[in-house]
Amino acid sequence: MTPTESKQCSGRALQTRLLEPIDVAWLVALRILLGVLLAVSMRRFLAYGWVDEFLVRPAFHFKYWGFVWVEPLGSSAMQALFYALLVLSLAVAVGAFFRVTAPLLALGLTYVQLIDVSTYLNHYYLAALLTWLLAASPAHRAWSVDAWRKGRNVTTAPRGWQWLFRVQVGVVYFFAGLGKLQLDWLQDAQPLRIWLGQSTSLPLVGPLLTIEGLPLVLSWCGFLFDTTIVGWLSWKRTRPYAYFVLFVFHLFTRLLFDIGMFPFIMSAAALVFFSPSWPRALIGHWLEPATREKPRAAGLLGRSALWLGAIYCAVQLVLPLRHFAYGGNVLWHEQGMRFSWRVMVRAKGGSTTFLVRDPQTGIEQEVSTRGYLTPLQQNEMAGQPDLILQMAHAIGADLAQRRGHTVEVRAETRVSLNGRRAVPLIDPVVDLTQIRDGFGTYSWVLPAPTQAAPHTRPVL
Amino acid sequence: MGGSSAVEICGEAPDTSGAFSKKALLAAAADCSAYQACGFRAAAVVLQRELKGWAEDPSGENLGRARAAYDNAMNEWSSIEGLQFGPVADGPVDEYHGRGIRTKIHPWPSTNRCNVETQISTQEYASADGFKYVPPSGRGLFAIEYVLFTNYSDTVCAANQQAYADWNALSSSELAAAKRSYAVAVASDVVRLADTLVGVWAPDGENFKAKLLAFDGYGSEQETLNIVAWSLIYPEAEIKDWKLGPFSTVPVTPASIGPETPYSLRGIENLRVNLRAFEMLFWGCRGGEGLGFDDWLTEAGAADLRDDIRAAYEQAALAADAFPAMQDATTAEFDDFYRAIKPLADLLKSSFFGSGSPLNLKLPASAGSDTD
Repeated sequence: MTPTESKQCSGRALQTRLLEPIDVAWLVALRILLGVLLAVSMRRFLAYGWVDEFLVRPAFHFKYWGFVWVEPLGSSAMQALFYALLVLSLAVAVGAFFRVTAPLLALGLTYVQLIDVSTYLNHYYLAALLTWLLAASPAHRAWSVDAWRKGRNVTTAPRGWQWLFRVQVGVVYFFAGLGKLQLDWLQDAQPLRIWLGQSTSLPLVGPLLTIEGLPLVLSWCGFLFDTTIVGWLSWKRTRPYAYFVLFVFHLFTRLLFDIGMFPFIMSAAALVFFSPSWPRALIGHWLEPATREKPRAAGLLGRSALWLGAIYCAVQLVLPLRHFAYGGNVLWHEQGMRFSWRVMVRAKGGSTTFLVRDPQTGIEQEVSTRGYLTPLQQNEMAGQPDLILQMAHAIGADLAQRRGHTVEVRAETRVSLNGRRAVPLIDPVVDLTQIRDGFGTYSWVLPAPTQAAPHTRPVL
Repeated sequence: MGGSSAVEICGEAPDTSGAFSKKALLAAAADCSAYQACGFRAAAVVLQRELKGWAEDPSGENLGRARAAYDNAMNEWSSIEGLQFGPVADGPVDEYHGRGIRTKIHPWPSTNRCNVETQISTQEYASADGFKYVPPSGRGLFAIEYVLFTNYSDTVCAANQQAYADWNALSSSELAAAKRSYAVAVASDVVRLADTLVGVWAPDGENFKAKLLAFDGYGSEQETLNIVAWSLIYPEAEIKDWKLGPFSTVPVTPASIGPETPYSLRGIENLRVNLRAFEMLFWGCRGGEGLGFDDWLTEAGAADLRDDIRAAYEQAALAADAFPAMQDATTAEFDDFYRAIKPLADLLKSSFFGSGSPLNLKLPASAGSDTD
């Protein structure tokens, strides 16, 4: 066999393996769990008043590249949308009209995320990705309203779907771990030292958090957990123990930090590493047994699906690494920060003063962002250069319109990263209205502070 | 006013020194608030007494005594301005326990001259409902200031309002008497509110200190500390943007907010006391001695930030001490003062509060969201 023939052969073997029918039970369980968790998420948004507060009330919205046209609906319509998303989540959970409800849910979640960059959270992004994957998958084939309507349960799905979900979940853990491979986290235990301070009043656990050295131990535990958990979950012998550790880990993070539904979503999503039939071990007597189907040769559709899956995986693997193209400290300049699973690695805040210079009078004045932004948006903007740039452009355009001529806009910023003394983030002499955001390195962002993060302490 | 001054009634500021803990810090803030409430109540009682005396005998001497009592009450209140947590705070400031006592006593910046004149001319406040339906913008210390420091014979209420007709139906002597009567009634209401405020902190009353220490309603110690600490943002929003911003050319679009005490013209005195209130909460209740947020920064290993805030505060306090009466200050002086306050305001926003806070203190109105 020539090397080319050998390659073709292994390629076909991989194709066959990926298209091999396996028990669909794992996918159904994921559909149900994700649907229920998303329904709870939507309910939280409604109950806490976040729909208005984060999406409707702001007079100005920070935009994503290519999605400048995305605008929020009015208050009532946005509330209605979240109720609709709640219903769609439940419809997905029970597998009702799945081919319609699941894409609509994914579309709705994506729309909500695209409204304002300042609301970006890794777990919202993950929820949208998982929902899109779910919408494309045959998760409604069994134990669903759709299967009941059609009068038949198809109890298998191609193995490739499980691999795809495993890659997605694995990417989150692995890159979350890679994001911790830096001195702030591993040497100075920041920002954990800061964040643990908010939980010292917890019964039993709280006082322990003040033990000197514990933040560093927890930092290393977090790093080792994130970087290795996929391996432990992938190995059959360690899988149950690994999942137990994972569950306790997420429970612990939920207890200590305000991370909303993330621990629950990850705990549910990590079940994809178990055998496809794992739900049968729990409730097998209620389920119709999986049928044995013969592998079919990959048709055009199957091959296209595999290619799409491969491209998706490649994007997910490359996107979090794009910060290497920029050099410097990604936690500071933030180029390559979003969509890269750098969860819980930066405590970053600051103040931003926009200075407007009228070229006709030479007078320089301050512009308060209170008229444009909510406190949450101001807080988020302060540490993110591209948002500061967007705000500067908006201020420039606003004043140019009011005055009938262009103005210069500069930003005086002071930003603290992981407990360090606040220092300027943006070059204060640069007229930001002359800067266009793009893929190039931000020359107008000043270098990150080089001193080590301070060893602050959680106190009782 | 001898025999009933705040110090004689309430004693010295509480000694809150001791070993640091977050609970001890909350206790210190509570004790300081209780002390300030006691001081304000004492001043409010004197104000009420002097206003009654002036209403009965509207002599120049009695007017002077009433004005002095107002000044004293305003001084005492300006300390409480820097301690806005718990029932004294407005709902948006302390969403858990805020009952808006503050706004009924000191409605600035939501003051409304017409609402004062409406009460004077219609005397709705004298009905059986009392002050139940009197809007805060037309009562409290603002209304008393209006009566004590102005002698308007006209009204700013619109001609189509009942108050306009009622006002113009009064003779000048009836109007003067109506003003004095309203001032006395408002002072009684202020004393009632001050009693409520003292009762909030009284161990045999609401004992809010115990609630604070148990995080009752706040849900967690950190959230309790957030709410208490938010009083420290006063120099950033109220002082820089609201009290100085409208008179400075530094901001492009200053807040359209009127002076805090437009008739008594004591804006700078209020501001100096506001800064001292910041000092009480940050460094300790007894003139900067005792437990404060500085001790938390020290314990947490953030001494740099503590020292930076000290330096910025001293710069602001020096500028306040050197500042002339606001009505005499030039725009350039306002600009300089604004710039002198800004480093403190920026430090508070960039490092003490917000996502970069070494103490995990959230910025006001940003505490409720998820993070990751």
